Amino acid sequence: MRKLLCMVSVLACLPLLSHAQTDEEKGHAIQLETERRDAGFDNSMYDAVMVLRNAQGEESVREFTFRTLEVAGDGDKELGVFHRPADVRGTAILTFSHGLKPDDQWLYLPELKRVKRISSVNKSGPFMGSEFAFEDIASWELEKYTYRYLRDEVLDGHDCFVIQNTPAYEYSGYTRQVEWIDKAIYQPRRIDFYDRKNTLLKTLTFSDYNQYLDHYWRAGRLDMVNHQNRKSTTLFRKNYRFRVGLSDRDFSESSLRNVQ
Amino acid sequence: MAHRPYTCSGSAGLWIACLMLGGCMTGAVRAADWSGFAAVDLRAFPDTPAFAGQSGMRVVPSVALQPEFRHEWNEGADRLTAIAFGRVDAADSNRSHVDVRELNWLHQGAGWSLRAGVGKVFWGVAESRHLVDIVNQTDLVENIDGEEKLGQPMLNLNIPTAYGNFTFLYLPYFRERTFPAPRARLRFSLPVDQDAPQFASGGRWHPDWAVRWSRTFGNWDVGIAHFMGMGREPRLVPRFDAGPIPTALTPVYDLIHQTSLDAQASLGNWLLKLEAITRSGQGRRFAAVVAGFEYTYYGLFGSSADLGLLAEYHYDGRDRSAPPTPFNNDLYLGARWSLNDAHDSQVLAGVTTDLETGATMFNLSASRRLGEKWKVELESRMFQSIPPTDILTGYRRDDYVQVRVARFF
Repeated sequence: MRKLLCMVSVLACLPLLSHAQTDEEKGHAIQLETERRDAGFDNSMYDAVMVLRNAQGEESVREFTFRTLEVAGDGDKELGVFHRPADVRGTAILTFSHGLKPDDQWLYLPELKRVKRISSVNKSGPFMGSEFAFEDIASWELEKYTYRYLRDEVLDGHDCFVIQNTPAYEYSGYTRQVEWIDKAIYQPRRIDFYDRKNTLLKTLTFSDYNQYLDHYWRAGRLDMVNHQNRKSTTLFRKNYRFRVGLSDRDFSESSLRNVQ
Repeated sequence: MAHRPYTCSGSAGLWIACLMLGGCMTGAVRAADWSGFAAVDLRAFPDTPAFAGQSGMRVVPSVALQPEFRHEWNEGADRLTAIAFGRVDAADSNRSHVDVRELNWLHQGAGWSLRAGVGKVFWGVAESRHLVDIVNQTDLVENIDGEEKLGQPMLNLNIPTAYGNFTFLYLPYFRERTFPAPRARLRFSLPVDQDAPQFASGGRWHPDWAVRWSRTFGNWDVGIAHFMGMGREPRLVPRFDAGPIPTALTPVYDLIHQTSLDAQASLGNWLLKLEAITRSGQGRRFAAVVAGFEYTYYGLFGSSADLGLLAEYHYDGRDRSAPPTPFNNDLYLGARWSLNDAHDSQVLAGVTTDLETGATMFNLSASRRLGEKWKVELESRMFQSIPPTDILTGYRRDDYVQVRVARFF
């Protein structure tokens, strides 16, 4: 019994003994803190404007509304409803994320009033023809990656941890991501994405952070630059609203059919 | 637009007052949310028609307009939807038609929603035949694929629960199917007289009912439904106007009971699909099934394009006293190519073969967005080796290629 107590006390002290931490443990601990600080928002929604630019600089615009419901003990539920371009207006995507298990995803086509299942294999496919892949738009869950602390670095005046995230889920288009996490707000400032050949593919930068409910930080602007095809996408997230009374019922087949 | 915040909340009366003042308020108020599309179609028939009296036009132009209006109030809890559709066709007087696709009020309560008015409900998962879909009548003159529907008056109560979604439908008024005019292409060997239908119930005002339960079990989505009322598929009874040779087909709508099952599952790259029905009221009780899959290769050859391969088997056990169907024992094979580009370019090609007669129908559809508001669509159908006994024999010289240019607003 005394031996057991001794072990428990040693285990309890481990997080304090930072010099004894491996880089993996430190990376995980930092992301655990990121998750802890972001938990408890319950539900939220925002309006998005996405500007797609091709290599010639020609732009096209997408608009959608995104709703999120926090689910205790599982990944978030998300509903995206598109408003622009006009021909896809009222199209909606409902996602139940499940961490390491495959997500459940449905597409609603308003012209036919049809609900279709989407395969969860399609993680690396482009979201709305943009440089964001489905896996970039999907909700971040702690268990989706393994982590390794790389270094501390000042990025554009922000004191950051630099962490390597390795996808633990199947069908990712990335071997790894390198993420700069702002020490002050525990939110990403930049993510470099490395493709399956471990070549730098894309860089995502986060800016225009605002704090909501005196607690939750959200970036108002995300810039994704593809270094290989020289296309880019800017995602503006506006009108963030938290705790707007969303529940499971707002993320059901019936809510999908009532989108439009 | 769904779920936008409105400061002009409150009663419908207040909203109507807002509307009459011509969008009196400024800022976030969107008193009238208009959208829709206009389209020009050119449909080319390379062959001369099969029947005397059919239009010899090789290229048939038509124009279509679909204005849509939506308004929400009570922070999105109430919504009015109005969608009208109209087409003018140069060769088919029946295809020149107008329809109220939707005119309904949706109220979303706590744990239920009710839609009252003219609406549209789609059930089903298959690609090549819409077997379980029964709520709305098919607008056949619009497209022979059965995906265009007429507006259906309804009360539609939806209750999502922990045990699945329950839908209850009361359908008080019957809409009869549209059929091409005798002069038009893509008609049966005998023209259907769509203006002289017969109803088993005596008239169009007949209470039809439907109920559906649907639920997700892990990777599977399952739906079970029952419909009782006037079947949407008519029997086509030969009409003898002068002498022993029939001159037209009269659509006869029967009272039926139909129970259906639909299921789809997502298993890795596989999407499995099943639709099955059993129907009584048209000849002896029969069953029909569509079962198949779609297997998708994502990120084809390192690009962002996807290629889906589709296969669906059709069985239909109806006897000759039931409405005719070409899908008694058929196999559909298809391929869907999605570029996932900024233009949303897509191609779907398929071929349906009757395993008994060898009758074959080819389908091709492709679409691409041009700029922000334009879309160009290509559609082609070809019919081969259709025997005289097949309901589609009237189509045998009606291969066509159609180009559609649509402007969304």
